[in-house]
Amino acid sequence: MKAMRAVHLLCRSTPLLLILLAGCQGSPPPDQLNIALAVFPDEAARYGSFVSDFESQHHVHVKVLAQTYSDILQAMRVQAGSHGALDLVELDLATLGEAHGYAQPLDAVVSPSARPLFSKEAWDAATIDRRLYFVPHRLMWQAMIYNHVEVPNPPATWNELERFARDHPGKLALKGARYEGAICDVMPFIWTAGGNECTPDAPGSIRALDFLQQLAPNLNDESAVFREMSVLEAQARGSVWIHFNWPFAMGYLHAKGLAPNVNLSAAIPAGPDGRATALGGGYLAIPNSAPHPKLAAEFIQYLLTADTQAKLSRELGWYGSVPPAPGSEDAQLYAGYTAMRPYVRARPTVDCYSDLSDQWRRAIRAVLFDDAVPTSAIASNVLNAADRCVCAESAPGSQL
Amino acid sequence: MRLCGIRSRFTTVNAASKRLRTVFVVVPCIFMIAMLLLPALNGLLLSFDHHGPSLANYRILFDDSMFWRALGNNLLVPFGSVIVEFVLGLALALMLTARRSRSALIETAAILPFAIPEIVILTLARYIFLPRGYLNGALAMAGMHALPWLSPRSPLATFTVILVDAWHVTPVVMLMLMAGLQTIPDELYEAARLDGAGTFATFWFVTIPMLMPAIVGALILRGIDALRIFSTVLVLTGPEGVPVLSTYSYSLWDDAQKPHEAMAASMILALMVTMIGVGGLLAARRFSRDDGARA
Repeated sequence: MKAMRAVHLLCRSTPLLLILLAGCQGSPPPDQLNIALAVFPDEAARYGSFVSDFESQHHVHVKVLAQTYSDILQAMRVQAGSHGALDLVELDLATLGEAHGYAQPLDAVVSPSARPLFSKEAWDAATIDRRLYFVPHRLMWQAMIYNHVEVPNPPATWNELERFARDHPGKLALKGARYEGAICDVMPFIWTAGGNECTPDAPGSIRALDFLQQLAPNLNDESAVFREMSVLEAQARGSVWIHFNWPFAMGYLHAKGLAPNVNLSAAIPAGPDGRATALGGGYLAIPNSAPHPKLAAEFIQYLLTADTQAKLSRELGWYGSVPPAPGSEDAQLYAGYTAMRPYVRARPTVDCYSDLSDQWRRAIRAVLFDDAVPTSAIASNVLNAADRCVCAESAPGSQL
Repeated sequence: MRLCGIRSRFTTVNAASKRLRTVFVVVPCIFMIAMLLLPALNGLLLSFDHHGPSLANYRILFDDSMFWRALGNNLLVPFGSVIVEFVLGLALALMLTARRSRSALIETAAILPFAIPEIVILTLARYIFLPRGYLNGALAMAGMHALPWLSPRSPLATFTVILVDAWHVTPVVMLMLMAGLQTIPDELYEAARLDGAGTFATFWFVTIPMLMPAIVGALILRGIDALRIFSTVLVLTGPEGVPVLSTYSYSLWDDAQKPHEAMAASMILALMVTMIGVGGLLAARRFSRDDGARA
């Protein structure tokens, strides 16, 4: 009898399971906008309250899904081949080249009046084959973070940086893990020496790698594995006195009571051709098979107004089109970022960028940690990828 | 008529039981196919896909120096870890079973590292071994030099990873060996004592041979499990510090956005685990056959 009861239970539960499975495949509610953002869960909650105006104006519910950039890109790939539930996705600037194939053009969505909110450089990075596929969501760039108790006069030039590294072995760190952060740390050196990622064997590129090789013996030991958070923790502990990082780092140090009283930000040391910093951050896109493209377009238009940008900056502390008010504590904390604003430069938005970047990372690591000669590191890693990759050169920096 | 009724009812119950048995076989089979076999096959196909069927993904791996470091570490770290776990686990098991009055406090303390969630114990270990961590702080207080416990690509970092991995999993080995120790009859120890055997001789000629099935089981189980090391390395040193195949594969997938190459690295790891696992099982079977023949 027990066996019979089990069979009946299974038979009865099967339709329920089928209904549940069917429910998973069903289309999302018409009054819900699903946005996948690369944020932490607490940021997602704050973003949820930030969009309350839009929700009340349009009588819709905005559901914010906190994910990583790579998971969002993967979801976009999957959604491109079928139906999906995502209406808007946030993508890392470095992946725009690949992602544009899965995104809807936004030329008609972005009005000319919204363009001045961001620099030409920022819009150019979102434009592929003369069509706009993305809109800047939260732009940021790197600056130098330094411990002003130990380093009252932060290095302002390559020579001063080299002297600092020599005088204080282990106190300068680079994010040298084999990931995109290494590119963001190293590429400004390449750019300010006259090189670029698409012509890796140019004299400027080699000159910058030669300089980095001079720094290498005195870099913090953990540079080979440092990423944004780990190098920031090392700075907070005092193991590192100087490193390059994104604006969130100042917020982190401030929250721990370590900025502005111990740490401050400054401009990245100038190279032979001046200064440069890598543009980073998130761009929004509407996936090809978004269930509510019209609503998603309206949300983008809501974001691209001066008022919303000011609110975004105020409520979420995100960098974007609004710099900190002069004289405020933020202005002191983010002084380095304000100083670097005119020197922001985007990495090329091309399909083959991930391959090119991966080869650059290998070359950078070979030079920094395996003592490889820059020309041979470039020849054995990057040249082939650069030959395969047709990239349009980005402009040398512009006012954001 | 009555007989026919009983037979009919018996036949119904029998058929229901058969159906149930079928369900209990089919459902796990479907689960295995859907959750294990199909993803594994898909992974295998992905690993040979490089703009069409090709061995290019494997060739790219073989040209990467980090792959070879990861492969080497994937043998060295589990080997070292299992040795440390075995020595510590055996010592703890002997200590705990030898005590006449067993203390719950000591037993709990011995099992605690395994009971604590992995991420907690690894974060704790990271704080202990960081350049300005608790251990270097203690060394400094004792007037000694700080050591770079987690310095990327150093032998000391490999040693630290082995130590932390072993620390976390030693209680499993200890419990398995304790179970084995409790099956050894007291009469054997009594006989050894009457024959004048000392502590070491008793341990070597009585405890170890009688414990051998438990030792072999623990070593095989932990050996296979240790090959899949991932989070210990990731939390302590990051994917590049002491790379192993799983962190290397994860880095290819997440950082380099190269799922096909990541899958090729995973396939190599799967092949390695399978070969070593099957080898271990065959050795264990041979050992038990030889042991049976001797008995």
